[in-house]
Amino acid sequence: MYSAKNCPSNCIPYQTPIEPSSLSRAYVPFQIYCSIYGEKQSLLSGTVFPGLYKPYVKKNENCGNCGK
Amino acid sequence: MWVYEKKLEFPVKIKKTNPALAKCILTQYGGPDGELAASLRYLSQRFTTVTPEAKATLNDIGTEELAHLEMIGSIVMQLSEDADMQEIKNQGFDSYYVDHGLGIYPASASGVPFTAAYLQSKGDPITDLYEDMAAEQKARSTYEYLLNLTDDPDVAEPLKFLREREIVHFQRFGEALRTVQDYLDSERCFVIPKPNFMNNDKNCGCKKCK
Ligand SMILES: [Fe+2]
Repeated sequence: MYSAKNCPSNCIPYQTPIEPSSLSRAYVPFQIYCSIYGEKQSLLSGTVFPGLYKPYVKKNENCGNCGK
Repeated sequence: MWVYEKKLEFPVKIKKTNPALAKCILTQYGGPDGELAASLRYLSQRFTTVTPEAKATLNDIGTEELAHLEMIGSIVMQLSEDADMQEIKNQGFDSYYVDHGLGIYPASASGVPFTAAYLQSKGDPITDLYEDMAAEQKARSTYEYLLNLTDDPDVAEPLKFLREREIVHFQRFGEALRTVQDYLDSERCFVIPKPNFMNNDKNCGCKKCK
């Protein structure tokens, strides 16, 4: 376990370096816990973690394939 | 074993009847990328995964997907329960109505009944977790397509909540994958019992001999 760079002191560093030596593998970085939403905001957002909140924005009303 | 909470994970209170939309949202109940498939996939895979973190992740998310199944069932029910014959006919709900009335049946939007062929439990923890991450993305896409089909905030809010949960689940499966990859990469000591023919005594050390 190592301290992630640019991580404020109140974060819980849970990041391990991703070894670049392994090909043919997918990696998701471990989440770094810095702050959490309050109860009501968490319910409305669908997560307590601000870093994981990625809301959907409708791009074009009349387009069936707008995500692209 | 499970403990049941007699409430929804996120409230569902829909005022406007919309059988056409109900038929589309039903796909997240019993469709190819729906909550039932997700739940059965994770709850089945957890038996053969390797790290305690991955086991807990599969168990917790598999359980949460059941809560999502309950939310989707509530949305479909509330969108269709007050529909009159005219709405049922005009909104293309008639083909569903003749088979299931206003009951909630696990099927896709196009009426294909639920099948376990939607999911896999491969017995390989890496393969399973990759499937799970793909499943979360497919569910997210479906929720986005559903959000494109509705402007009713009573329907959109729970759908947005469910979509966000898929993003969180993807992150958790990604973290579980790291623990599994690290575990499978770690050096371990294997003890292979001496085969019977190399022993003079009959006790080969296997389960049967003991
Ligand atoms: Fe999910």
